[in-house]
Amino acid sequence: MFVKAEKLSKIYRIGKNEIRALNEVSFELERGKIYTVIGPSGSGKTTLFNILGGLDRAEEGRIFVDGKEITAMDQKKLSDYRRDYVGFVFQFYNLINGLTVYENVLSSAALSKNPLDVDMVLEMMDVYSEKNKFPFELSGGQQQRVAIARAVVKNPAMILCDEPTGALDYESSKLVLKLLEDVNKRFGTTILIITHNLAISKMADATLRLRSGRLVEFSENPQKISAQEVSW
Amino acid sequence: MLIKKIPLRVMKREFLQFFSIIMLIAIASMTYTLFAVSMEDIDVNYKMFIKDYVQEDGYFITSQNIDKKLLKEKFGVELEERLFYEVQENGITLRIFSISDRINKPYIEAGKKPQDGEVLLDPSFFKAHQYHTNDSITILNKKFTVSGIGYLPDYIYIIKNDQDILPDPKHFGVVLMTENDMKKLFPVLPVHYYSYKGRLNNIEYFKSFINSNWHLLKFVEKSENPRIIYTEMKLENAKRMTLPLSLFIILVSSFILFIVMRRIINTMHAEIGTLYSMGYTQKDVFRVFMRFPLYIWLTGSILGILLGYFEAYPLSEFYRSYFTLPKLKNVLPWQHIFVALALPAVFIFISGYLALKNFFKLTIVQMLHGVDEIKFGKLPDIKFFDRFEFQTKIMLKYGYRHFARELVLAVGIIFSTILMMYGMTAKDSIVVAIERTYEKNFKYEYLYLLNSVSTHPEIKLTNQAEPYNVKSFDIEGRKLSIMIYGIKKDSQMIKLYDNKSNEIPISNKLVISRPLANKLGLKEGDKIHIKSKFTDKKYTLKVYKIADLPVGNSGYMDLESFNKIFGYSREEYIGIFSKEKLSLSNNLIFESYSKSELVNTIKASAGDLSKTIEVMALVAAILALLIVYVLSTLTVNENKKNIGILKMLGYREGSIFKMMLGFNNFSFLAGFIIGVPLSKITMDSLMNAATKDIDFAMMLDVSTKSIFSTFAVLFFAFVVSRFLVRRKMAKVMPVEVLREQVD
Ligand SMILES: Nc1ncnc2c1ncn2[C@@H]1O[C@H](COP(=O)(O)OP(=O)(O)OP(=O)(O)O)[C@@H](O)[C@H]1O
Ligand SMILES: [Mg+2]
Repeated sequence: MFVKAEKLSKIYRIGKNEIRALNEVSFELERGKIYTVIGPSGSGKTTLFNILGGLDRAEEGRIFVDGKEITAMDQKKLSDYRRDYVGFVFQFYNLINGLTVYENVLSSAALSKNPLDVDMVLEMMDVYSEKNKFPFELSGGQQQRVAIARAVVKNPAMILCDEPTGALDYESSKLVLKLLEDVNKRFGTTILIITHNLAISKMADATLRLRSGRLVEFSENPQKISAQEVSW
Repeated sequence: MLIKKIPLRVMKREFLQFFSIIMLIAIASMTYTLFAVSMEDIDVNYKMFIKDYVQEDGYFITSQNIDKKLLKEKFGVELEERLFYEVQENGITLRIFSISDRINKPYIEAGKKPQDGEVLLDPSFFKAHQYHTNDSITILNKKFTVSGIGYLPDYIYIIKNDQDILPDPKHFGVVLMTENDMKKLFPVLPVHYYSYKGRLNNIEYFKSFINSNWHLLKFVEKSENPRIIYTEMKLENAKRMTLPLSLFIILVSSFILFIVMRRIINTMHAEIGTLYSMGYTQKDVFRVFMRFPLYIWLTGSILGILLGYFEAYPLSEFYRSYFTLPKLKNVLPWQHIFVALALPAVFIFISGYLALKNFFKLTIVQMLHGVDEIKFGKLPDIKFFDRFEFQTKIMLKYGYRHFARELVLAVGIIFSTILMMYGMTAKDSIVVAIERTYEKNFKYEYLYLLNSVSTHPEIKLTNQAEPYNVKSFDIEGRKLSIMIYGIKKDSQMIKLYDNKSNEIPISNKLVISRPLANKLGLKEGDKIHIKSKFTDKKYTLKVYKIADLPVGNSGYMDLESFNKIFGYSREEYIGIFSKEKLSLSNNLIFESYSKSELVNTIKASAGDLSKTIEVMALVAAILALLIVYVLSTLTVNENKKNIGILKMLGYREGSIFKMMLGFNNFSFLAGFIIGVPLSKITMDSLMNAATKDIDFAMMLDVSTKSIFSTFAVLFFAFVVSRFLVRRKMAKVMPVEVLREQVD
């Protein structure tokens, strides 16, 4: 098993109130597959990603990735883990404004032990012609593709996308999904996509459904379709 | 590492803002370098000069020829007689000395040692009258050739009388000639002038021994000689100013840097979070962001050091000609350059570090999403402000939120005010002091100091002249002295007033000058303990009144009582105040000067000061401009989104400007209003510290004129920087609201 989560809980305390953003969540993920994570707002999706990606800590429970327990890692080990295993794609792109498109991607490649070729990835994401521009000179769709390129170029085992299409129009969204699928096929990258768009689940191998911090459903999708065919 | 490019790119994009901070640091480094390097140059050269050319430890004047051998054996000091005569021709006074070869040797610049028929001129006189070597000069109808410029170690600050404040090379000069020529030119020398070198264990005994054997007329230790001590005092003073001045600018700019850094980091919070999410470590991020202070420090301090270093040369030259010091060797003070580099580094890196450290306390998730404290646009909710009209309310809220910023602005203005007031006041005080003293207090036109205290039956005084007596005393327990004058009971020449402008009658009770009273902390009715300079006689006198004289360590009482108390006979006197020029024999006169001559001196020299004041005013204005600009730009940058929204809602730019930056007006005013009295206080204490052990005292006058000029200059700078900020605000388009939604 590539990822194994055991009874994960994340608790926020505000004054005397306790919010269980995650409540004893357990699941297993296989390498090289596409997963979607769905659930109403506030159900704990982002929280789960943050913990899985090594950005945040869980109060209870354990996660193993590739046999290593990331819930037991110290700060330094965690940043090595992020460096070697995880690529992030955010809803609002979060590109570094002070760096060009090319440099944004290169700054990520530079951290990896076995990075992909930057130009190749930029071409794959169809932003090669923009490589010397700065992020604020790009459209939202272009920025998101640069963000994916930045995640992909490290050649990580896993890419976590938090509502990658949330700020994009239909065409741009479809292109982004197709590119994520390409990456998955070509490099065998495990991809997790948080989404409010149920249609996107159709291109996933399985879907995790969260409600109020609990994992209420883990459903395999035998009739998986290609990103091209997804429509809403 | 690629991400190290980020800071430079951000700095380029926010060029003016960072440029301003760099300029602040540069000004600080420049101030330090400028003063430290030129001071060091002067200091090293001064020390070398007084050592190599054997500055005296003191001099004295007697009416009879002393036994040098006897004194040397008895007291173990080196003695050298210097022939001395004063010539007054065409309104110019020449003090002529023979060239000594053991004590106070002249340093000769641009020329050679004079032979018979040749003379050396002091550098200021030489310059003021545009002499060249080999020109000729006529002294008492005899022609001499000017063989060069001579610097004397005991005439560094070349003033004519001990009481003078400023040199006047147009009307006074020092001439050096051979002993031979002196003897030929002046067959009868009225007094004997000796310089001594060496430590005296019992200086009182030395004085009284000389006095009883050869009749001492004057005795001046090096530490009381204004021609030596003023230079040292001014050097000390300038040195004392250097560090606090630059330190303060560095502190203000570091604090601004801190605020700016915090803002940069805050606006980049999501990007920093992203860097973490990519796998960069805190160390990596820290290294990248510390480049902001690094670049600011490097460019700022190096620029400052270069500017300062190149400016130091003309400044040294200015000091050199001001103090008439020779240049014996070139000085490159590495240690000061190092300090100019290291001093800003300390503060800049600390402020950069602190700004980062606070941010690093956040978790990565907090950085990515932003927590309340780093999100902008939230104004404090203070009930008290609700009572005001909307725009005023918003203005107050912005002022409250940016309290630290407003404080820095006010402090910056305070500092600029002090800086400018300092220059203005220095000039004002001297001019005002002199004008006031001579208009209000000293009514005579000519002052004569005679060679001896006697009844002077050979002199017939008209009603246009009054006799006076004077004696100098040491004040016990302090290294200070007081000149006590005995003057006519209802003198028409000297009028004293108290601080309510009521005339103080001259009587048998002592009246002292206010600067002296302030320095000694004396009030009316207190006792003052004094001791004769030449004998061991001690006196305790009660201070009856304090007279509002702007300068001087002096005391007054009526001549009759003076003579009785200090042991002279009833009619004796040593000097004359006169409304008209007296025709007295040269042999009788020890010193003389005319009031108009003196007032001219001051007026001429005030020009020199003007240059310094202009520079100070410029620096103050630039400082104010930079500080106001950086801080207001910061607010505009942070609030682009709000500005966009307000513009979209249809608010006019003027109103938006008022709401966001209106509070600056109050901070500016507050800074100025606090700055004015504070400058008086700091100047007073600086003056006191500088003149603590020196026979020099002056009241500092803060005139309304200089307050207005300071305000005008600073307000102009304020308006200019506001104009620049307003232009920046005009460029903010409502579309920013959409663009900056990442924040
Ligand atoms: N820093 C925090 N402090 C307190 N509570 C928090 C914090 N971050 C998240 N929460 C709470 O944890 C719960 C889960 O939040 P999370 O961001 O994981 O939701 P989500 O499923 O990603 O929602 P959305 O679809 O709106 O992005 C919510 O109830 C939220 O209020
Ligand atoms: Mg979320």
